[in-house]
Amino acid sequence: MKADIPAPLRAENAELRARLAEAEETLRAIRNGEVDALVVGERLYMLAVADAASTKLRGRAIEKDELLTQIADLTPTLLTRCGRDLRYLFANRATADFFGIAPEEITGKPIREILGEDAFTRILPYIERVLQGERVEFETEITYPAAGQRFMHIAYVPEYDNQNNVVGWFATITDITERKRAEEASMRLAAIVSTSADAILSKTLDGVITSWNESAQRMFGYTAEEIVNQPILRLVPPELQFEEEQILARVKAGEVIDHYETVRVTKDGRRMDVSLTISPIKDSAGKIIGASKIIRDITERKKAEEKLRESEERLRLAHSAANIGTFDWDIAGGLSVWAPETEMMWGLPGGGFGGTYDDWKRQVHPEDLPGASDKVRRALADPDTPYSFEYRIIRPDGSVRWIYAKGSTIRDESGRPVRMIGINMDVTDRKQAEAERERLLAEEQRLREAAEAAARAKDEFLAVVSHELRSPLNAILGYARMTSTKSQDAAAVARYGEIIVRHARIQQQLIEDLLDTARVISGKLKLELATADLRLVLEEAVEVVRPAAEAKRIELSTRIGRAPKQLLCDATRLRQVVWNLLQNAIKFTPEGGRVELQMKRAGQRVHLIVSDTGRGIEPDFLPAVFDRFSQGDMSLTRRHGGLGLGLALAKQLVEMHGGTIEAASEGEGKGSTFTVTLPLGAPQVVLYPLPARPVAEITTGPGAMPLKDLPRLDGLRVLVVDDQEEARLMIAQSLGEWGADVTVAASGREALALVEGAAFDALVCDIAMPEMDGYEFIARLRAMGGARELSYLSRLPAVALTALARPEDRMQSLAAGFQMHVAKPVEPAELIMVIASLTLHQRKGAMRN
Amino acid sequence: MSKKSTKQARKDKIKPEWQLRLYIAGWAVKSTAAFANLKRLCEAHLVGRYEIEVIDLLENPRLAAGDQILAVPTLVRKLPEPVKKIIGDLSQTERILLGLDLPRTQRGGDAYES
Repeated sequence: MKADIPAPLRAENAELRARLAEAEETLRAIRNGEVDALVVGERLYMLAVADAASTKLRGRAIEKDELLTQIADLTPTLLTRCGRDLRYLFANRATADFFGIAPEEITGKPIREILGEDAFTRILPYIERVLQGERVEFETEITYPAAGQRFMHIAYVPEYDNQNNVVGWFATITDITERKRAEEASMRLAAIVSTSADAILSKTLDGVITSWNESAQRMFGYTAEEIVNQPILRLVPPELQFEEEQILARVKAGEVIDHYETVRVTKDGRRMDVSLTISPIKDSAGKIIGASKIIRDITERKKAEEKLRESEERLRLAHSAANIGTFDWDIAGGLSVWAPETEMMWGLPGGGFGGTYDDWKRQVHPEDLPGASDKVRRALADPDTPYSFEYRIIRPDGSVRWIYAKGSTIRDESGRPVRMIGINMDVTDRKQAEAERERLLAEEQRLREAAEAAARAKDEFLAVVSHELRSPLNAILGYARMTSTKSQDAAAVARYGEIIVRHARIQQQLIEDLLDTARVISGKLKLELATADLRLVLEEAVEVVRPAAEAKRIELSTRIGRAPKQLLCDATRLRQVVWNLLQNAIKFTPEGGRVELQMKRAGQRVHLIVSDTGRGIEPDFLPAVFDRFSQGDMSLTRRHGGLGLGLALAKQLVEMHGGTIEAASEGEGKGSTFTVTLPLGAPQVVLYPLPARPVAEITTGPGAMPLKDLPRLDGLRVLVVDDQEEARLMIAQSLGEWGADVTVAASGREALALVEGAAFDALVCDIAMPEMDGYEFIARLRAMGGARELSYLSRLPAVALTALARPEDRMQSLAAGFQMHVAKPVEPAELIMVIASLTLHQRKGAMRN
Repeated sequence: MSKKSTKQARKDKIKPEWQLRLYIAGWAVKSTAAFANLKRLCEAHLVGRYEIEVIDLLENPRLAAGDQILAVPTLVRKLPEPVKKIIGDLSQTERILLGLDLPRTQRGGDAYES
């Protein structure tokens, strides 16, 4: 154990012993009268001696005891003189100070009293020994009443009288507590040094190794014997030898070198990554005399660091590639550290994220903030709730991105969240794709449903249409057969003819309605507005349905008040509305019933009221009355028969006139009332413009125009072109009866040949013909007009008469060179009227009225 | 400061292996005796190998500080190391020889008693 005590301590102990010995020696010499003088501070005190006279003395003579006392008081060591009676004979000032009492109070007092029981018991064995004439020296731990627990070095020297009896003893007592503690610390340090995993060595300022611990041996392979007193450069690789000079220079400057990482060489030549910590060693005067060096082998750590760096690098690369950024939130500290990828994702420059919760909140989309905050709160509160959420953020440039965030919370032992680490991922593209997909799905769903509904409606519609078309057809066929039966008399045949005509008109009207409905559905129904006398419109409509009413013996009455004479409307369509309402009323009114059309004016509005005494409408069906087939159900369709199309069309037409239509019924069996309300001002619906070509168009309701009012076509040369013989002959006959001079052609080619040889006043031409259609024919005809002798052909009034009845067909006809477009089937009166108007200036002389 | 040095060593420049320093207080009784005793001992045991330096503290008491002198006369053995001190008139020859680590076999003569 002694061997482990460091040299400085041993030296200090030796010095202490020497001083004790000196003190004893001094006392002895004084006692023996061998001393001339004493040195106190910087003064010399000569001792008064008998033969002083013989000596030239300078200095003050003083009493020997007094001087002794003064000397003793100057010594830091505790000095006492005790008698056999175990009382103090003398104690110096240091002793008094140590015990905290005055020196004179110690003299004469028992040792036991001053020291206290514990200390006295401890030193008693040594006192017994000194009283037997032994010199005693010992170190012991003593607890003093005043000074507490101290470690003391104590030496006792016996005092003899002239008879060599021990009369007492001198004691020198030194408080070595501090030294002991230093010693212990030193020993602990020594233990640490010897057991340290780090190599610990010391060297002189010349770079010579002076100490070497076990770990140094293990690490470098040199034993202490091999390496101590050798230059430290033996441990330094050749290319790094310069380092040592720098290190020594810094050590000499008193600098501490902390964790300097470099490379050192072992005994067997292996290179080793090390971390150096070098501190200067100072002597007691503070002068730097060498350096202590702690060398740590960091080869493994270096490797681990390298690996970690590589794996971090790989992870970062992976993150970059996957558009992932990390965050590390120190919850206690309140700061979050974001990877550059995360910052980039949030539109921030590198290091641009402030790190606080508020900095995060500031960029979260306001609509998503409550949800995101709640997720964070719940993840912190509940260890079983992972933080996983998608939310929108707003980048500083204002762009909105979707972020997927996932994090795990790290907790301390008490379960308190201290940290959250996780990732951010930009999922904007995915979110957009999802939204797009949802939108497309919804759109597809909507379209499919619409398509299904349309298909269903078409089926229903077709079923109704076929039924409606077949009914009058059956009647026509039946009566037609009866007219060909020989047994029928002429009057019956005439009656059957009327019936056939009526049903044909019904069917024709039905087809008109269907076409109109199709136009309404496709948005192509247009009003052709003109001023009309409303009374005439209403009366014409009534006339149309009167035969049907009479057939059922229904009383059809009108109450028409002061009707506007110049109502801006599409008279044809308005007539159609009224006709539909009346026909509907007649249809559902039993024989012998009553149908009334009433017209009332109310301010700037006019009401058309059609009421009947029919079966009425159940309240449940009222709202559906104006629905088209496409929206009605089968039972409604069945129940109301052909009602659907007509009323739906009526509603549409009224609304196009800016009016409204309502149905009312007191209930089943109580009749129904339909009320049309029209504004007297201009309709709000825009009509399509008339073609630029100056054309007149005369349209009529079925059989509306009384034949007696038609102009004559006497002397008018009309060319009729149609590939169908029946149509050709029917037209020729009708026009011929009205005075026209008709020429027929079965094809465009034939017609072109005819116009070269003869002159015509008007042309009626079919469109759908084999070889050369009507469009091509009229184009060629007009082209022939380029020749001077045929120039009239470019102005020849031409009427297209065709079953192609859509507006676009009409447009095409007019564009091709026809002045008029008349849809088949055509009433002879209509055709006559058209030709008459087109040829107005040619036949001036021919006009009869 | 007065310094009286007695060179009994060889005439060459080499320092003697024994360097002794004696502190005295004027030439007072014990101081004078100490010097005489020392001289005798050295001649008896260390002939040609010693040098004595005498420092008179009566002339300058401050010089006592260097060797931490308490009482006069005091002999300080500077060399060979370790430094040793002997206090008194050096009359007890046996003790002095022991204190100076002088081999007993070289001992000779009696102490000078004043």
